[in-house]
Amino acid sequence: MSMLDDFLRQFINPYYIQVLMLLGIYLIAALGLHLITGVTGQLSFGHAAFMSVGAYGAALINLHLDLPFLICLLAGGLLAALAGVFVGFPSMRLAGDYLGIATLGFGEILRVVFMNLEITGGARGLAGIPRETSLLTIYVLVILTIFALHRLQNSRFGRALVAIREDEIAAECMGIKSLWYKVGAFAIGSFFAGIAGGLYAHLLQYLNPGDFGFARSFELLCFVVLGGLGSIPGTVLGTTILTLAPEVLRFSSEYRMMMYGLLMVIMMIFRPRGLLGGVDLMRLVKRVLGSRRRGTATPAG
Amino acid sequence: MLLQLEGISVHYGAIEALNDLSLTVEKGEIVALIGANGAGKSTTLWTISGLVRPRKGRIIFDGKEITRMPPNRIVSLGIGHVPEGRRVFATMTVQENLEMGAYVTKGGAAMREAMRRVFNRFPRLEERKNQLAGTLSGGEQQMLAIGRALMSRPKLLLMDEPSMGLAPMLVREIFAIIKELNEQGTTILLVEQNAHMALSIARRGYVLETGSITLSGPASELAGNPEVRRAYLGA
Repeated sequence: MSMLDDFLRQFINPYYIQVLMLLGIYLIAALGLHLITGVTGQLSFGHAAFMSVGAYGAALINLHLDLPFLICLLAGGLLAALAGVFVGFPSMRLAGDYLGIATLGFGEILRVVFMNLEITGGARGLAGIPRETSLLTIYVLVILTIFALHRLQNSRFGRALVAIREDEIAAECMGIKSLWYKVGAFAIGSFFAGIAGGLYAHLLQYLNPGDFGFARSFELLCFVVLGGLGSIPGTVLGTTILTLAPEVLRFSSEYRMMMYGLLMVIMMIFRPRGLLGGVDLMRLVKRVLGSRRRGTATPAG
Repeated sequence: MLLQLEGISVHYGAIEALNDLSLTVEKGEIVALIGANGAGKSTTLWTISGLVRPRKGRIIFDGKEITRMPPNRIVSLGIGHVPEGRRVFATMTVQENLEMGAYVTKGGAAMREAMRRVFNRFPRLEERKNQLAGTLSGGEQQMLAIGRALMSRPKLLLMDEPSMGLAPMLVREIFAIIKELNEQGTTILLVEQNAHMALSIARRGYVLETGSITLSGPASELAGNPEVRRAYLGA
């Protein structure tokens, strides 16, 4: 528990701090999915499963080996990346809907496995995980994630991923080995899901396989799609809106999925490419800074 | 001999796409590969580029066997591929598309030189270098697809249906470009449904029917062959 958290607790309702922490965790997971679905164009319905690999991995390493928290977190991320490679190689040969179905199946299989393993506590769940996650840790990692993904997206590797999304056959004609790049993107995206999972485990101190089911994967996909495929600011905005809206509006959780449906329909009508579809992080930053310096508002577009 | 295919057979699952196909391309030639839809023309080009693995046969390019090489090695050895239907990267700019064409050469001075040459040949692409490729016209997209393939400085250019979906005037323009590229030293293997245009600029031609070569010879001879005229030239 960091000092910042204690300090904030004096002014802000601890419940809101918890919400902000969950938001940060979802941001990291959603940014991982942004790389897979938004940048590389590969549909994944199993992202929460990679979160669960990181969550159980980090928690079990912490409980059994008693290593420093950040090491556990990193190990959880790497385990998730490894799972990404294992799932990626066979399933990345599939395209579009078929890939979606394969990742959906993988997510459900993993949930059932965690539900039945002795070491993960089975259906009772895994309890007694120390609370090590703090607001500061989460948001430092959010910033690192945004930085890393922004750099990655604008690198040679990242441009190859975009080329694959735009036209896989043309990318192959240019000599880009699309299978390797897709698996690479899948592994990196899963790594961030795993980090998010580890943070989640050490925040809630209790893991239940049901936390990482299809609904959670679908939620993450909604975050990315609502914000705008391929855009980091879009993913951040989509995640923030969909995470905070239910809290702000005090809707009960049963209406959450209905609200998602409604928001998606509204989005498809008015902003078919997502709220910030195609908006690049640096261009956005430059535009905001530029308009402020000139003291005039530039129209968005 | 720049390119030689020997007894190539390709299967998609149980379906045989190419059966014992052999052809050669000499340095400096334009060779036309004509045939109906589904004859295996695109498959032939994909096999040469390494996107499809042949079950049998050998492919020799510039004295090296490339039969089982991965596509990136084949591109860096000097084979450029202009895929059917242009397939530009729509949300990337013209310049970014060209950079992707030089992907295997890893950028640097060589890439800038290649881009300068492409812009010299296609001034219209330079005018539009910051425009998104998806917003170009069909003819411009075809020029971009050709320019992109030229970015890797290929010795052999594989062109798949460059006239597809273009207005007759643009078709003539594209064919003039192909001829010019060839005169400047690029060897071209041209796959076309527009047999008339293809045979008019090619030196030699092959006719492909359901995965096998059924006729071959000098382009002028093929253009005069009554069977070819009936089946592919609509005469």
